[in-house]
Amino acid sequence: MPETHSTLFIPGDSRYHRLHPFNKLAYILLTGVTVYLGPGKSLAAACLIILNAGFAVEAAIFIPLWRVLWRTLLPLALYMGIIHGFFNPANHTVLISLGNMSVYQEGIQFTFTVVLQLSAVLSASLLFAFCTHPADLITAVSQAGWPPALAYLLGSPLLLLPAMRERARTIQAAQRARGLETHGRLSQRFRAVFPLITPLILGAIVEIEQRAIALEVRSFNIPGKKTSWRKVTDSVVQGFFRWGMVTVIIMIVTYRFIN
Amino acid sequence: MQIRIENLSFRYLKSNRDNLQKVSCTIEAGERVALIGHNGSGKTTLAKHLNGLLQPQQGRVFIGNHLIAGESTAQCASKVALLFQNPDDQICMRRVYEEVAFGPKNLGHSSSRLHILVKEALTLFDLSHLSESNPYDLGYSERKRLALASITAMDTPILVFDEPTAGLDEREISLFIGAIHNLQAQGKSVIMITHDMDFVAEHIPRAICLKSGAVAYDGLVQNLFNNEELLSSCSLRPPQVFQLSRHLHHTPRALTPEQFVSTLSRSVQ
Repeated sequence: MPETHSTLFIPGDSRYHRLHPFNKLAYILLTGVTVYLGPGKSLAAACLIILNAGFAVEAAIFIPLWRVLWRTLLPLALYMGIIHGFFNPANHTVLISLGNMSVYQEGIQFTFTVVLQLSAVLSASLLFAFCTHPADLITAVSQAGWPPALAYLLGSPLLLLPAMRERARTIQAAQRARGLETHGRLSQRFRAVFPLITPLILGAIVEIEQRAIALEVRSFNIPGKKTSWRKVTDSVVQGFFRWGMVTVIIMIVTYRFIN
Repeated sequence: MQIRIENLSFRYLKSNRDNLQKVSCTIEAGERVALIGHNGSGKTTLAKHLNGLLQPQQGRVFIGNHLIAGESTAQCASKVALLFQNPDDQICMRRVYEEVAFGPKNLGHSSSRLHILVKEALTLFDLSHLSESNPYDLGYSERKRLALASITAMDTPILVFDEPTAGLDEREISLFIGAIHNLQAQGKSVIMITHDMDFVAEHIPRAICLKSGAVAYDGLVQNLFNNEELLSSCSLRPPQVFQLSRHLHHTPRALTPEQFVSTLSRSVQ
């Protein structure tokens, strides 16, 4: 079975894959701060999206990244486009008239900006999720001398989400096998939610306890330095860029406070 | 109700080989059949084709005279009930009674019929005294029995159980044996996916053995256990009583302790 089944990570040996996990995390933070707090929101977001697309091509993950991106953002864009196109309080320039209703330029512009900002942040986050093995993130946090509990807290969502997605599929199959109609009319789908959600949530709660016990019996909380099987390579150049990004983030936040 | 599978082939999206390869077999109404093979041999994949959870990429599946093609699993559920390995994947109600009633309710049984079906299933698996309990307050083996009762209560002509004996103790396995005999007496077909060769030897007359997605054997369990080479290639071992019988050159070889004792006493006399 390919490794992508158990985590979001897509194996590869690109430059982006080899970057230190903290650099990729700093890049997500930089992207978020730039598009939401920096000057020229839409232009900055567009530039970062192009940059992220370049990184994705270099890491050979462009197609899976694009697939997740449009599936997540297209419904949001359509929903926001309708709401803001018709009803945004700032609307005054009519773009299209549809009988008594009109679509306004300001609402569409607002939607466009929000979707661009989200695209930039989401693509940077997906780059991180697809190109960073969760174990590398945990190792990097541990190597930096931070508590193992924090390392686990950061790494576990990347490990647990795909497993929960797989479990959700199994639960859906089990309930469909008991005659539960999960497709068709909206009322049918609504009725199907409860039998699908209950085993997923209760199962996840039980699993948390089991995972905690499994970690504890393997001396997870033992004091002292632990041996790490994985090694995450870092370099002076990477450190320079990492702290460079942190400096830019501080500068943008300061700029926002001053203005 | 008969199951007829013709040249069924299937490959998962990310698989680099066919997970089922031209599988053909027929299972008659009232038969008890074990679906066996190594892990990843395609047993569960085959079972998922019987109730529309997976659709054939090649070949056809008939339930009775009805071709399963493009039908939703919910539609197939009135003919084929499938028990998944993990009971926690299906338990969703707050009372044991409601949990068992969930499947029959979905199938649209009348309330009087529903009550009878639930009562019967609870009795069959010795859960009547727990009918008001919360399923999540039960132990694992009780939840497993609850899942078995939930599937049995659906009153379908075909039942497929994936690893039904896993996690059950001897008393609970006896309850399950009673249940499958009861189902057979009603003319229902029972298909069991299992690695429990002792159980197969004692209670299932026919075995279909899958090897890398293809049918490697379809016939009597006795003959399968005689084929050592095939068993080894399918990562299976015959039950200990059968191995002992072979070691003592008994003919025919015993599948159950009773058969072994009987043959042994004959040879001593």
